[in-house]
Amino acid sequence: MDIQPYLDPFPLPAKRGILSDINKETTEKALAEAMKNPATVAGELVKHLLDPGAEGNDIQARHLLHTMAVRIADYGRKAKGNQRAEFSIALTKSLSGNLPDRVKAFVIRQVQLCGGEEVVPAIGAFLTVGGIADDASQALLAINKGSADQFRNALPKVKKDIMLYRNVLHGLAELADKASRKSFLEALDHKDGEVQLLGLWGLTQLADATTLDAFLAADGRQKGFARVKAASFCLQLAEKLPKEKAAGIYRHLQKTRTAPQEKYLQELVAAAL
Amino acid sequence: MKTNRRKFLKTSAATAAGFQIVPRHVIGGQGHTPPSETYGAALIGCGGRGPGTYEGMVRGLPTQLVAACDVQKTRVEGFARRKNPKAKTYNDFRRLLENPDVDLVAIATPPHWHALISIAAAEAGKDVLCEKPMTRFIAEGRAVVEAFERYKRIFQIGTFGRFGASKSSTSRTIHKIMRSGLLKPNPGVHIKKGGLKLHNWSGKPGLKPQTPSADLDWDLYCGPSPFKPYVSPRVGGTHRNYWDYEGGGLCDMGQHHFDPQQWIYGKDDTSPVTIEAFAPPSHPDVTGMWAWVELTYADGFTFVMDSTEWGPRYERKASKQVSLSQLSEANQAKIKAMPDPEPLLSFAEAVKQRKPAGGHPEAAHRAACILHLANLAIRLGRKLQYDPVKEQFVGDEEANRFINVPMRSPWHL
Repeated sequence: MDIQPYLDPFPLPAKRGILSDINKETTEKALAEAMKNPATVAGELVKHLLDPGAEGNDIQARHLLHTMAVRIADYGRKAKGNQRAEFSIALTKSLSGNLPDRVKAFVIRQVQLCGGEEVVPAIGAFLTVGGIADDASQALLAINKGSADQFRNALPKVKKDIMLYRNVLHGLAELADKASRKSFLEALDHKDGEVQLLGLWGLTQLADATTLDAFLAADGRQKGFARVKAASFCLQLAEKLPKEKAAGIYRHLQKTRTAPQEKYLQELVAAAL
Repeated sequence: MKTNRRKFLKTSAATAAGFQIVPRHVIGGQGHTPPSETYGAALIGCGGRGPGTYEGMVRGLPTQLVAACDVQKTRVEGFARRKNPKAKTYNDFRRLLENPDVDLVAIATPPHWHALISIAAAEAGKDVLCEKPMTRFIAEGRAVVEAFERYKRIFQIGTFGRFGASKSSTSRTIHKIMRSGLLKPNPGVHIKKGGLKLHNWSGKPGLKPQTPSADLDWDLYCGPSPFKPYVSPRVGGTHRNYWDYEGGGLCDMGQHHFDPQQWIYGKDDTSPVTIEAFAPPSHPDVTGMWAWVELTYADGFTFVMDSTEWGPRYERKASKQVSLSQLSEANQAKIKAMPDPEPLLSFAEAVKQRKPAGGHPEAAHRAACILHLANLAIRLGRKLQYDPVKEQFVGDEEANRFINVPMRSPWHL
C-alpha cells in the first residue's frame, strides 16, 4: 500500500525548524483517507519510523501515526465500528518485528493513547525488557483494564533487576492491586529504599487494616526524605481507614515524629486526634 | 540559641563570616510568629526564571537563602555564588527538603516537576511559591490541592495579576455578580487576543540526539516524564516546546492571562464544561499551531483564546462584559448590598498569618485546568465535554488518559 499521499500534506519543518506551514484542510483530508484503512495504514506507517539517531527523517510518519492514535477511538464511535481495537492490534503486531528500541517505545506510546484490553498482553511482554519497560508500564497504566495481571506476571521475572523491579511494583501500586498485598509487604523489607517506599505506597493504596503493623514498623525504619514520604503515607492511610485504626496511626506519628523539624506533624496529628 | 533578625543582619554584614539561621520550627511555628523571625528560603530550579521566582517569594519577608537545587550543577552553583555563597547546594530536591533550615521553597523547574516538588515540600512542612503553569496535567493539580489541605501549608502560584484585578471596583462588581448566580444564562464572553506565543514556543521536531553536558543529570531532569534521547532544546526555556514538560506558549502565558480573569469572573472553584478548538493535527512531541479555543462554563460564560498567529480569527461570539445593567433592578440592589470579597493575601501575608494566599492551590489548579483543557482540545481534535466536579471528560475514555498521565517509576502522585 502506498501511503505517501497521506504523508505528503503533513508538514516538514519550515522557518526556524517549526511546523508553522501546516494546513488544516489538507492534513484533515489525508487523515480521513488514512482512517478508511486504519490497521493497514498503521502497519505501513511503522515501517517509515526511524531510530532517532538514524539518517533521514520520519517527522511526517510520526505526526500522522500519532494523529490517528488520538482520533481513532472517536472515529470508531462515530462510525460505530471497531477501528480502535483493529488499529491498536496492528500497532502491537508491528512490535514483534526487528525494530529499534526507541521506535518500539514510540509505537507503545501511541498504543497508550488508543489501546484497550486487546493489546494488554502484547504490551505486558515488554515489562521485562530494559529500556522499554518504562514505556510499556505507562501504556498499561493508561489502558488500565486487565493490566494488573501483566504486572503481577512480570514481578517474579524482574526481581533481580532493581530498575525493572521498581517499575513493576510501581505499576501494581498505582493500580492498587489487591492481589499484590503480599508483594507490597515483601517490599517493606527490601534493601533498596525506593522499593520500601513503593511497598508503603502500595499498602496505602490498598488501605487494608490487616497490614497496619508491618506498615508502621516499616515507617519507623525510614530516614531522611523517605521518612517524610512515609509520614505522608501514614496520613493518607489514616484518612482511608476507620476512625479507631486512624487514631492508632496518629498516635504512632505522635510518638515517632518528635524532632524539632517535625513539629508541623505533631500539630497535624494533635488536631486529628 | 535565638537569632534576632536585626542582629543577624548586622553580624553578617560586619564579618561576612557566614550566617546561622534558626529555623521557624524552633523559634516560632504555626501561630507563634515572633517579629524577629528570619525564614530560611530555598530555590529549586535555578536557571531561567528561577532567580526572579525566588525574589517574588521572599518579597516582604525577612529571609536568607539557605539552600538551592538544580539538576545542572553549574546553574545551582552560579545562583548560590551570587546570592549567598554559604547556602547549601543540591542536585536532588529530596535532599534539599531534608534540610531543617528550609522554611520556604520557590519552585522554578520546568512544569513537569511542579506538582511533585510542591507536594513533597508540603509533606516536608515547607511553604511554597511555585512558578506557573502550576502543573503538566489536570490530576496533578488536584493532588497538590489535597496535599496542601492535608498539611496546612501555604501555596502561591507564581503569577500575580489577580491581586491588581481584585482591587478594581469594576472587577469586584463583576466578581459579585458572577458569584451571586443571579445572571442566568450568563452572556459574558472574555476573548484573549494574541499573547500566547505560538511561534516563540513551538518545537523543532526530528532533531538528532546529543550527549548531555557532564554537569546535567538528564535522568533526574526527565523525572516523571518519559525518558527520551537528549536534545539541547529540551533543557532551558525551550522546554516549553515539548508536551513532555509543558504545553507551548499557551501554558507558558495562559496562567498570566487567565488567572486574573478567573478571579474576576468568579470561577476559582470550577472549570469549563465544553471545550472546542480550531487547530490542525498536533505533533506527538512538540507544540505547534492552532487558531482559537472556546471554553464554556456551565452558566454559559465563555473564555476564548484567539491565537492571531495561525489560521482564521475567532468569529463565533463577540466579546461581552458582565455588568449590573444585565440584571433586574431588584437583583442589582442585591449585588450592591453584597459585601466586597475578602482582600487577597500576598504570599508574605499568608505565611505570616497562616491563611490561604490569593493564588491558593484550588484557584491555581482551576486556572491551570483552563490551559490544559484548551491544549487537549487542540491535541485531540474534537469537541470535549468536561465534568468540573469529577474532573473527567464525559464519554471519552481515551481523552481521560490525558487527565492523569502515568508517571515514570518511582514517581507518582
